[in-house]
Amino acid sequence: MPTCYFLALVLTTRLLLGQGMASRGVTAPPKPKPSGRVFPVTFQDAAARAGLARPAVSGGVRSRYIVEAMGTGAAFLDYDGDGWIDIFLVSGSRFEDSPAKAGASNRLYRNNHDGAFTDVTVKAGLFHQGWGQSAAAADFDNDGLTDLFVTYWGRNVLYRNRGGVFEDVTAQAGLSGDADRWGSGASFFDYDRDGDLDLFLANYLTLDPRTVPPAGKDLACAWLGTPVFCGPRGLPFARNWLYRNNGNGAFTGVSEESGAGTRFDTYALGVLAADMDGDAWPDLYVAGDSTRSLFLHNNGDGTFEERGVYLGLAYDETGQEQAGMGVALGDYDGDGLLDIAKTNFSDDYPNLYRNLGAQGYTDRALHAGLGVNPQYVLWSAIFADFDNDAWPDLFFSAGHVFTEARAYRNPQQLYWNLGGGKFEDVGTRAGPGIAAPRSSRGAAVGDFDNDGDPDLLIVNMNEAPSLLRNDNKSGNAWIQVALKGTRSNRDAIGARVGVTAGGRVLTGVKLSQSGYYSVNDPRLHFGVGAARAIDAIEVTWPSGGVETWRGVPPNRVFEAVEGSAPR
Amino acid sequence: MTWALLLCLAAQPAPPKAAMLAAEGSRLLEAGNASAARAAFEESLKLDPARFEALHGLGFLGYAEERFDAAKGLLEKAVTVKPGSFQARFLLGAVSVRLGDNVAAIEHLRRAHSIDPSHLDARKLLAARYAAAGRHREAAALLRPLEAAGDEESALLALEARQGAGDSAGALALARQAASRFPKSARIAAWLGFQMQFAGRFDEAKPLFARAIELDSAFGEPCRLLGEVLLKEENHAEARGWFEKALALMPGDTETALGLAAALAGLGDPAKAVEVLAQAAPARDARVHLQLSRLYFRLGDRERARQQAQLSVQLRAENEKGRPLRPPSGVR
Repeated sequence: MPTCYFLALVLTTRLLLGQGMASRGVTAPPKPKPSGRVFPVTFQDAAARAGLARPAVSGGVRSRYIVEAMGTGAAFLDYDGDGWIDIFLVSGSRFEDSPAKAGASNRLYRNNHDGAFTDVTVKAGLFHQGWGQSAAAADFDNDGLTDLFVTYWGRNVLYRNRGGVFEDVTAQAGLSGDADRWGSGASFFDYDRDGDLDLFLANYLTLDPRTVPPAGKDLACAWLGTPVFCGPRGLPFARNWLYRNNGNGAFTGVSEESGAGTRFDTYALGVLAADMDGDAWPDLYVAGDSTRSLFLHNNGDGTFEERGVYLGLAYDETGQEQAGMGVALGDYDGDGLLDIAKTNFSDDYPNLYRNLGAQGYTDRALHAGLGVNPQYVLWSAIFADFDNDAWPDLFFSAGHVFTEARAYRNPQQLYWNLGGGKFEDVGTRAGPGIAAPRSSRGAAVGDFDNDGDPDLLIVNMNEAPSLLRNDNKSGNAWIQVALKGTRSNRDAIGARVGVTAGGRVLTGVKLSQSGYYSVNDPRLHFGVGAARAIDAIEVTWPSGGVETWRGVPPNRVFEAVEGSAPR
Repeated sequence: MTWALLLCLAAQPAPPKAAMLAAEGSRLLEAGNASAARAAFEESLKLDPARFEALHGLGFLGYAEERFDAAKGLLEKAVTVKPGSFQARFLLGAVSVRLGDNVAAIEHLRRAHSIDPSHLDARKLLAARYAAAGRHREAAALLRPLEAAGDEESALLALEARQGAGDSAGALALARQAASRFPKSARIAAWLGFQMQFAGRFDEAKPLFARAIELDSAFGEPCRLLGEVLLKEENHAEARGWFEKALALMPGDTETALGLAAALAGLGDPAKAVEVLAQAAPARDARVHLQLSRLYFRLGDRERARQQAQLSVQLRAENEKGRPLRPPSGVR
C-alpha cells in the first residue's frame, strides 16, 4: 500500500541533537511568487563618512569559547537631549593580547547633525574594557536624562547620565552582582507601575574557560561534525534576575519572590518587556537559545508566571526547542495586537508569532514568507516601516557563529511587509548596505539624519559597524512620537502608542531594549502612507492613563507629554 | 560454521546431488510450492553447505515469510559464496531494510546497484535509503537519470531527494514536470500542493489538494493538508471539515488530530479539542501534550495545563529518538 512521501519531508523536525545548539535542519521552501511591486528603499552604508571606523572587537580569529561568538549590541539614544540621536556601541574583548584588544572599549558617538558623529567616549566617562554584551537605555532616576545599563560576561555596569557625562553608579545602585556570571539581555520596565523603572536582567549561562572542554571534545562541541567551541548545550544554566527600583537611586533584588528568577533551565538572550497581553501590566518575553523561550506574565501583584508553553511562544510548532537570539515587538498585521518576531539559528526559520488575543499566539513565519532563507544565523529582529507605507517591515541582522563555517559573513535580511500578513524578501534589491556580507550581531533602528525614514545601525564582528542610511523614494508621510512621562516613568518606557491615519490604526510600544542586545530610537516612528493628516495619536501611559491628540500634521516629531492632551 | 570453512567448502567440487536438489527447489519455488522447495533446499545444504542456489532460495523464502533474521544469515552466506550475485545482494539489502538496519541496507544495495546499474528497483530502493539517512544529495544524484523518464514512484523519490538536498527550486520544477507527466497522480498533485503551501502560496496549493482528493478519495493526506492551509487562513470551520475527513481516512494520525484540535480551539471549543486529542492521538507524543497544555490553560485548568506541559517536555527527547521519517512505499 503506497504511503505518501512528502509529509515527513520538509517540516519533519530533524533536531540536530549532536551539537551545541538547536537547529531544526529545515530546508528552504520554494520562493513565493514575486509581488511585482518596486521596493522604494535602498540602504547605503554611511558609517565611514559618519566616522564610525573603529571595529567592534569580539573574540579572536578562531573562537575557542562561546563568548567570542556572541557579539554585542548597539544603541540609538539621545544622551544630550538635542533631538538628534547619538550612537552607543558595546564592545567585547579578546583572550589573546593584541592591539585591537588594547583599544577595545564601548564607544559613544555624538551626532553632529550633519551625517557625521564625534567619538566622545572618554569625555563622557564611558571608556570601559571587558566582555560587553548588551545595552539598555532609559532614564532610571527620572531626572530627564537617558542613563545606560551595560551587561557583561563579568560585572554589569549602570551609568547615570549627569548631563553629558556618565557616572558608574553600579555599586550604589546595588547592581554589582557576581563577577562570574554572564549578563545577556536586559530591560528597564516599570513592572509594579509605581512610576519608576525596574530592571530585568537575563543571564545566558555560566562560562568558566578553565573547565570548558576543548573543541570537538563531545557532541556539544561540534557542528555538523566539525569541532567547534562548546555550548550552549552542556554548559551550566544561569537564572535571570529582577531588580525593583527603590526610587532613591538604588535597586532591590526581587528575583526569588517575584518568580522572575525561577530556575527555568534556559539559555536566555534577547528580552522584551512590555504589556503584551493587554492587561496593563508589563510582561517579559525572553528568547531561549537551544531551550524554550519564556513568557513571564505579570500577575499585577509583584509576581510573574511562566506562560510561554501555554501561549505557544516557547517552542516551534512541533514542540522542539529553537536557538532563540533576538526579539522584536510590533503590530505587523494592523489588528491592534502586538506580535513578536524572534530570530533563530541556521537551518531554521525566524518566528513570527501572531498575537491571537485570548487564544495565545500562532507562528506565521512560513505563511508570511519569512522562511525562504533558513541558511542564515539571525540575530537582531526589528519591526520598522522603512518605506512609510503604514505596514511595518522586518529586518534581521545575519552572520554565522562559527568562523569555520563556509559562509561566516552573510547579507542582512530585509522583508517588505506587503499587507495581508505577507512579506517579500527584498534583501537583494535594497541596496549595497543590505547586500554586503558581514557577520553581524546587534542592530538598532532610528532616524539618525532626521529625514523621516528609519535608518539602521549594525554591529559587525571585528569590523567597523554599519550605519545604513535609508534612501526612501516612496514619498509617503510619517510621524514620530516622542514621549515624556510625568506620572509615569519619565521616559515613558512601556507606553503604547496608537496612530490613526488613512483608515488604519498603527501600534507601537516604547522599549528600553529589543532586537538582539540593542536599543532603538527613543522616538516611535510610524509611516502613514498617503495620509495627509494624523487623525489621532492615542497614548496609553504606563501609569494606566490614556490620552488622545487629534489632527496632528504628519512629517514631524510630535512630543506627547503625559497629562497635556486637550480634554 | 566459520566463513573460512564455508569458503573452503565452496572451493570443493559440489556433489551432483546437491546441485540437483537445489535446482529442484528453485523449480518448486517458481511453481509456488514453498514447503517442498524449502525441503529440497535444506536437503541440498546438508550435502553442500555452500550451495548458492539453496542459500539464496531459503533466504528468499525467509524474506517472503518475514523471518528476516533467518533470511539475513542465509543471504550473508550466499553473497560470500557468490559475491557477484545481484539477486542475493539486492535481497539482502531488502532484508536489512525490513530489519531496520539502514547502514547495512545502504551497503548491500550500493553493491547490488554497482553490479547491475540498470536495475531500477535497486536504484530506487538505494535512493530511498539514502533519503532516510539524510543523504539527499546522493539520493538525488542516483535518481537524476529517472527524473524525465521514470515511473511515478521514481518521480516522487526524486522530488523528495531534491527537496531534502535543499534544492527547493529544483524540487518545485520537478513537481511541475511530474504533474504534467502524471496528471492522474493524486500523490504528485498533493506534492505540488505541498510545495505551494510550503512557499506560502496558499491560493495555488488549495486547488492542487482538491485535485488530489478528487483523483483518490481514499487519500487522506491532501485532506489534512487542505485543512492545514485553511487553518493558517484562520478559516477554522472549513478546516475542521477537512481534518475530520482526513481523520476518518487515517485514524490515529497525530498531525491530523492536532490540526482538528487547533481548528476546534479556533472555533472556541477547547473542550471538544481536548476530547479529539484524547481519542485520536497517541498518548506519548510530545506535540499532543503541548497542545493539551495550551487547551487546558484556555479552559482555566492550570493544574492539568502544568502537568501536560511537563509531560511534553519529558517526552520531547524520547519522541525525537523514536520518530522516524516515513519511508516511501518502495522500501516496504
